[in-house]
Amino acid sequence: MTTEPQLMPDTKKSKMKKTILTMTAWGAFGFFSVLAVDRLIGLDVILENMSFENMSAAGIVAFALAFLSGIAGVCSLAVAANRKVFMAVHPEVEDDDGADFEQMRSLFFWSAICMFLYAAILVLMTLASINDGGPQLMSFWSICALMLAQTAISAMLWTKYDELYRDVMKDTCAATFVIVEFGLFIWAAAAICGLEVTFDPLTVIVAIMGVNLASQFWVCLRRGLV
Amino acid sequence: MENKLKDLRTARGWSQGELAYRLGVSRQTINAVETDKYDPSLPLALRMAKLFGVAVDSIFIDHWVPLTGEE
Repeated sequence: MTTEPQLMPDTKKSKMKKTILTMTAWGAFGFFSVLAVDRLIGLDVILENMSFENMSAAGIVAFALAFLSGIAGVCSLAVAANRKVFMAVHPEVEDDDGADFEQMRSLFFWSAICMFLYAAILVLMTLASINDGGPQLMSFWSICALMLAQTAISAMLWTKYDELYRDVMKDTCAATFVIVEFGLFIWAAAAICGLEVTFDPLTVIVAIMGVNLASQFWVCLRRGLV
Repeated sequence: MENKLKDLRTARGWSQGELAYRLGVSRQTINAVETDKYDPSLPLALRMAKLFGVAVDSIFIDHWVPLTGEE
C-alpha cells in the first residue's frame, strides 16, 4: 500500500510561482513588443501572408477552443487570487479561516497556467497553419516549449495533489481515449477502404482537445467540482 | 456509495477542512465523499476507519448481498 502524498507544501511554491509569472510576463511582453514594432515600421514579418478569410473550419474551432481555455484560465486565476471569489465558487466550504483557500489556491493557479498554455498552443498552431510565409521554425519550437511546460505542470499536479484530482484526470483521459479511439478507427477504416477521408493535423488536435475539454467538464461535474 | 462520514465527522465537531487535514487529502475530496460523488480509494477508506476507530463497513454501506449458491 502506498502512502498518500501530502498536498503541495508551501516551501518553494512561491519561488516557482514567481519564476513562472516572470517568465510568462516577459514572454508576453516580448511577443507584443515584436508585434508592435513589426506593425509600426510596417515590416509585416509576423503577419506576412496571413489571411484570416482563408482559415479552415478546424482553425476557427481551434480559436474558439483557445478562447474557451483562456476564459477558463482567467476564471481559475481569479479563484486562485482572491479568497472572496473562491468562497463564492465554493459556498459549501464550512471553515472560513482561509485554510481551505490557502490549500487550494496553488491548484487553481497551476490549472490556470495549463489552460493558458493550451490556448497559446492552439493559437500558435492555427497561425502557423495559415501563415505559410511566416516564421514556421520559430512557431514549431515555441509549440514544443509550451507543450513541454504544459506536460511538466500536469505531471506536477498529478504528483502533488490528492486522489480525487488523480481520479478526475484518470476519468478524463479514459473518456477522451474511448471517444478518440472510436473516431480514429472509423477514420482508419474509411481511409483503408478507399473512401478518401483525410484530416489535417490541426483537425485531429482540435478534435482531441474538444473531446478532452468536454470530458473534463463532465467528470468535474460528476465529482461535484463544478 | 452511501456513507456515514458526515455523521462521524460532525459527532467529533470537526469541519471538512479539519478532517481533510487529519487524513492528508483535500477538503474537496471529503466533500465529494460525503455527497456520494466519489468513492475513496481503499487506503483512504482504511485511514478513515482507523481515524474514527470503527470498521470500514460501518462507514460505507454497501447493499450488495452475496449469492448463497442455492439458486
